[in-house]
Amino acid sequence: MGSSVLRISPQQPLRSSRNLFLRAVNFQETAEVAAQRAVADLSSSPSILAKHTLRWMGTRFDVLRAAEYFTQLQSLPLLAMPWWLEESIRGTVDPGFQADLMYSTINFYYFTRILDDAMDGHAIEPAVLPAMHFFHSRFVRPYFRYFGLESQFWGHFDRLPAMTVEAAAAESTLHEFSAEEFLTISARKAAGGVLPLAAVCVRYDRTDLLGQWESMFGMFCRWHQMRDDFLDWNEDAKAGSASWLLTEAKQRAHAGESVAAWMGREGLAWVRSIMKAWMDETVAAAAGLHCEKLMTYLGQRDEEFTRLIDRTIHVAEAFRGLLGVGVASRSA
Amino acid sequence: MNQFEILYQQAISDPTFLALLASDTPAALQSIGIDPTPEIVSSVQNALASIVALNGQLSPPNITAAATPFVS
Repeated sequence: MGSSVLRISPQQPLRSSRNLFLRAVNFQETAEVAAQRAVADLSSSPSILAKHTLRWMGTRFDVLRAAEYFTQLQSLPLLAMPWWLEESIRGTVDPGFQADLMYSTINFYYFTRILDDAMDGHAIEPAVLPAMHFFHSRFVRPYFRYFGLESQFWGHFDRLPAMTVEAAAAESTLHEFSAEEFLTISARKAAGGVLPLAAVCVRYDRTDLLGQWESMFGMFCRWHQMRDDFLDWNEDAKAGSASWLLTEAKQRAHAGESVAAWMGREGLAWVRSIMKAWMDETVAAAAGLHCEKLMTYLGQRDEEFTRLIDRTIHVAEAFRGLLGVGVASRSA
Repeated sequence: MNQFEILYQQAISDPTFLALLASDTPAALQSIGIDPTPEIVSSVQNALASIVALNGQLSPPNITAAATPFVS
């Protein structure tokens, strides 16, 4: 990173940008270049669409450090997993191929974020919505460099992003979530993230590995989604947004008990228990993939979340007594 | 929901509020409509002290701005 990061000016065409990718040899540098390229492509020509879309992006990400959003520990490792998979297959990676996968994935992510914002009713200018065409075309285009029309890759291309948009559609119809709906809908929203894994498997003729990686990724996604729902429970409750966690809170709370009181009494421990079980299952599935970096990553995620929830449980215990102060104050 | 339930809700869900509670207890209490009487401030600070005693520090891990690169 720093001065070693390769930078692309907006004027550079796609082919020249790809040549720069060949010089980016480590994961972080490659991600930086891919993310810069995605932003540079959008801003390469002055247009109303670009102006509004860049402004929207600026409210969601640090556009000048776009890669960080995808490479920080708390993010889904959408860019890293295909890298790790290729390393586990070949012992090394083709940086140009990985850069193209990253570029595609980043554009697909921006596509889905616009879709999410529009579907969730978040503030998004109508002038941004046509950028979905821009991002979608750049999500698709890199794959044509590697896979002919007869390649089995395109079967995965049809299948995996379709799972993401189907989950998005289904989720928008729900006002409460059962456990099954969480697992079959909410936790599958990131299924499109398996596509670059499929690309790696097809390119190196190792489609025998895809099922195991896809299964592990699905297990991790349910953990990751539950973590998101946990972090957002208060904001979701205030906004009237639905999640499985909030549905459980309503169903399990005593009569008259608030969501916060339930969270402190048993909800935090419930979340901790589920997250522990799901991470254990993910780690067990990952162990069979012989990928040390994946195991290290999962260990870091587990450690970070365990520290967070344990501390939150301690906060709840420490502040529980103040609920009594409130009662005493009111009765005084 | 009374103000103390709001205090509890904010404390267990909002690390930024918890940090404000530690750095400026009266201001944090006032921000949610609680009169920061000496008794209440003292109760809150006792609660904060017990969290520090259990965890060694008050702040939870930085979950929004961390930029730890993946291991690659």
